[in-house]
Amino acid sequence: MGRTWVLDTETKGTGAQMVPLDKVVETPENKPLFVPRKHRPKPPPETAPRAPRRFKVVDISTREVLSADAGARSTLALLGAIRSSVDVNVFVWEPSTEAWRLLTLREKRMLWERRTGTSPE
Amino acid sequence: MNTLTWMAYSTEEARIQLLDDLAHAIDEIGVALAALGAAYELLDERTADQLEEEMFRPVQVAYGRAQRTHAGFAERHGLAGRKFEPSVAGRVSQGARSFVDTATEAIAETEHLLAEIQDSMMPVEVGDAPLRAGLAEARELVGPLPARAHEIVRVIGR
Repeated sequence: MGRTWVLDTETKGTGAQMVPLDKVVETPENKPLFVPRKHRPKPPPETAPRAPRRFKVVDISTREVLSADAGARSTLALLGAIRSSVDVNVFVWEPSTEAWRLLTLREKRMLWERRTGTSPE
Repeated sequence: MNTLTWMAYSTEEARIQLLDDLAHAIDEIGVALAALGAAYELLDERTADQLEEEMFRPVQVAYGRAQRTHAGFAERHGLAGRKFEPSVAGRVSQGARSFVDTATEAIAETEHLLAEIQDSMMPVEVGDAPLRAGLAEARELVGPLPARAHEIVRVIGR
């Protein structure tokens, strides 16, 4: 059987030309096989473990520092021995600014509600 | 009783009276603090932050300053100090505006009491410089607060 010829119109510049059919028909075997890569989840960015919060408690009437650079547990225990949340100011150490920051009323309330001990407000 | 004994006695009495009057003012500040704390719980975050910044903090500073003044004066003159008990705000059903109103009344009363103490001349006659400084500072702290309270009440009322 003779070869089948077709008019290839995709030729640029010189116009169409007659070519064998098997030159213009794409067959699976001459097409590169695309195999998508397996998706691998990105590993989580490595972050340094957050240092435990440090607190400072100051008596508002005497300005006495009742605890300095204390952890949460001992701060909650100290608050448990204080009569009223308005009697003290609580500060938290902010590593980013390297300074003590006064807790907002909301933050202080959260600590106060978790205080250990029996002193009622 | 000779004259010197009588004078010493009356000076001590006057100082005790001064401490009592100051304690009364401190109790009023305590009422204001409790009411502001209760109002804070009922307000939206933005108004609560404004209340904290413009009222609660200055009142708390005044509370501490006045207590320090009381304790320091008592200690310097060998008189009995006093522990100030936390106040109770009232019922939540009162609403934020009512709590702010309560605080404003207590602050106004504090200002009035501090002014009376200063006007009585007792701080000059039987007091001392740290006492006078403490009274003046506490009064300066609470003085502007009623106007700020008025502004916050206006926001709450919208």
